[in-house]
Amino acid sequence: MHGPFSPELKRRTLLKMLAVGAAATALSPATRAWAASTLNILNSNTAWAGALTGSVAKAYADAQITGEGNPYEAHYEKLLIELSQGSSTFDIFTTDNLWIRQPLRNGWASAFDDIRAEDAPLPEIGVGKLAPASTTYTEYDGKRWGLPLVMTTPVFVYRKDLFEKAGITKVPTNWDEYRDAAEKLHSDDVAGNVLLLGGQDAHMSGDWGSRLMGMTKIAPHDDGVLDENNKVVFNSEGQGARAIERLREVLPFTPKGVEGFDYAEGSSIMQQGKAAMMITWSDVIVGIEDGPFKGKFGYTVSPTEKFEQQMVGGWSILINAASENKAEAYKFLKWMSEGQAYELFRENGESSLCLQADIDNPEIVAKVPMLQAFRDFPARGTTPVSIPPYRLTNAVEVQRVFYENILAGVNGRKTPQQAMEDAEAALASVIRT
Amino acid sequence: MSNSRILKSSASALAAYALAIAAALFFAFPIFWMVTSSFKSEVDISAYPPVWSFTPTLVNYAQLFTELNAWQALINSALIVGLATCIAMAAGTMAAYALARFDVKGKEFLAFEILSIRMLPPIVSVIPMFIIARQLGIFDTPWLLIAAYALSGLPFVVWVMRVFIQDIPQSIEEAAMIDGCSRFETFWRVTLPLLLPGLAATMVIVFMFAWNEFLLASMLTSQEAKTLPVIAANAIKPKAIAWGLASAAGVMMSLPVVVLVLLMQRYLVRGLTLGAVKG
Repeated sequence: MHGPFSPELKRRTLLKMLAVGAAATALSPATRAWAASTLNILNSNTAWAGALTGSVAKAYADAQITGEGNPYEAHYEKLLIELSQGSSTFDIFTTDNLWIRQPLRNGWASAFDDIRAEDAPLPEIGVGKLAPASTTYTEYDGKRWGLPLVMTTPVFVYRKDLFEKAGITKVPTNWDEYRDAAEKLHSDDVAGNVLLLGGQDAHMSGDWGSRLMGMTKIAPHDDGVLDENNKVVFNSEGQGARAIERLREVLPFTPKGVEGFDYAEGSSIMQQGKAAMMITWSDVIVGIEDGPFKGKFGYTVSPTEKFEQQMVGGWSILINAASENKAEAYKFLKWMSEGQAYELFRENGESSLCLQADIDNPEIVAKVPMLQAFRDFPARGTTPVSIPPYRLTNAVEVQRVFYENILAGVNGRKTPQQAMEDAEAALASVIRT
Repeated sequence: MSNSRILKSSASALAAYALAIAAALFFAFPIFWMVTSSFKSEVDISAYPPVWSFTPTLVNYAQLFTELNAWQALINSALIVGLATCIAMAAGTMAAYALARFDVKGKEFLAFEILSIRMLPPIVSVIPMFIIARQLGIFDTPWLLIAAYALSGLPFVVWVMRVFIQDIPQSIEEAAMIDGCSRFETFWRVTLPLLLPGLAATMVIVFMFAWNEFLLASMLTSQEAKTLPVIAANAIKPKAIAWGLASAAGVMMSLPVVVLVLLMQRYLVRGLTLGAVKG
């Protein structure tokens, strides 16, 4: 029989298809061994992330640096899947400091000392050029596991021109002044301030966390939410409920639709000039200055209640324990620690810098105005506090419990005190150390 | 017909047209806004009140192709989704034919089992597929996504095409076989041409599902086999959105589907209504 279904032709076609498939699979990147001098990075998609696989990769001569940029949630999911399966696709991975204990506790990352023990000639990595608050996240169990990439803190962003128009001469430094300013600035056209009720991280850390941190004296090893033994301390003196009350005070002066606002919506409404003030993380506000109100924004450290304490977060870079190029990855991080990579991050538009020389340089602060928040730390006597609850293996899950209860307290479904009691009760079964 | 009846009839026709135009504008506006935003600068996009007149710029498209490597992603998407759709359509239509025409023992159970594949949330299959892919050495290759999309599209094709095939009178096939056609030839020369509208409608839906799929494309690729949805998602920064870039990515993602639907238009209307009325 002739035609498309003749047995002879079908067999031949099948053989051809198999041959094509086999050849294509053989040529695929997964079956092609990586060159020994190639380092692949599980990366984010921020300004520093672009620089890491762009100008930093170009500047580093001893290995070829490749990387895969990912949006925030996809990055976390990919990190979990790749590292939990012992995959060596990535030699190096970047992580939000909120997630960092998960890879460290699960043995998915290699400590610097352990890599050096395997390969004695490797030089020691120092972090002396980096801001001290940024390096704490990569210390664990008495060892150093990685380097910071950027250092972030809640920043108070405000419209200088609107302040002037409303006759506000003093930039608020406490939450009473902030509430009064929000009320004074609020109009039908421009909201007095922005809350980010629609984002888990944005609302829990940016909104509630920024209020919480100044209410009680936080011990050096606490993060404001848990103490060093992971016992809950966030409402020990009623400060958690008080922080919710602070949010409720300014809720009437927020824009319409604020229930759905996450970081992006908050930044956009500031960029469009439809809100006068916002407290948000320093890495969130990069795009604000790209809009029509460029140069009209002021940046300073977030207001506080009684104590000058502010969260300092950021991103870090670590070496995959399953990497086949750990020594090469170590050498790359050693080179990074010398500072040039961080300068390149800045030159590529990153504003949440952790190179101490950058923070101390007034010329750079003038060019990167968001840095002013860090410059204000010494002037205000601000003590850095780690982001809660980064020390937990399941920090993201715990953050969810907080978010749901804080939101219920802010939008009136629960009283602030009930919201905090419910959070504490739920956390008893959720916290994993 | 009296003047008042003519007037009444004209008024209701006018109202119907006005309603149709309003509905069309309502649904077309987001597309219009996406297309225009893709040609706006960052300042124009964030301007409030929104600007309607602006100097168009290709900067977002340039960024999409230079920084995000969208061209490679477009090629990957076309190859992966095209092949997966073809495989799902070919295998699914033949399986549907078997289920519709042959007395296979337990075929209802078999059909249900095929459908059950679609009941699984995609996230459930990600880790097993990741492990299998690494074991087979096909992680970050197009073949993995082709297999995944073909398999996920298959149940839909089987179930939809089975109904289309059942709607074709069996006597037509019997006549062809009496005239000397084999079963395959009958299927190829007689049944398949009659199925074209149904095939077109099903194909467009399977193509769209695969074209817009993000989760598997994100988790099962790294650099070489990235598809357009993964690239487009990169316009959403960790804590901000590059609106111009996101709009340009949206336009790039929509264009092939629009072209496909336009090409298939003459079959689609018939395909989507085929089998709606019995008799």
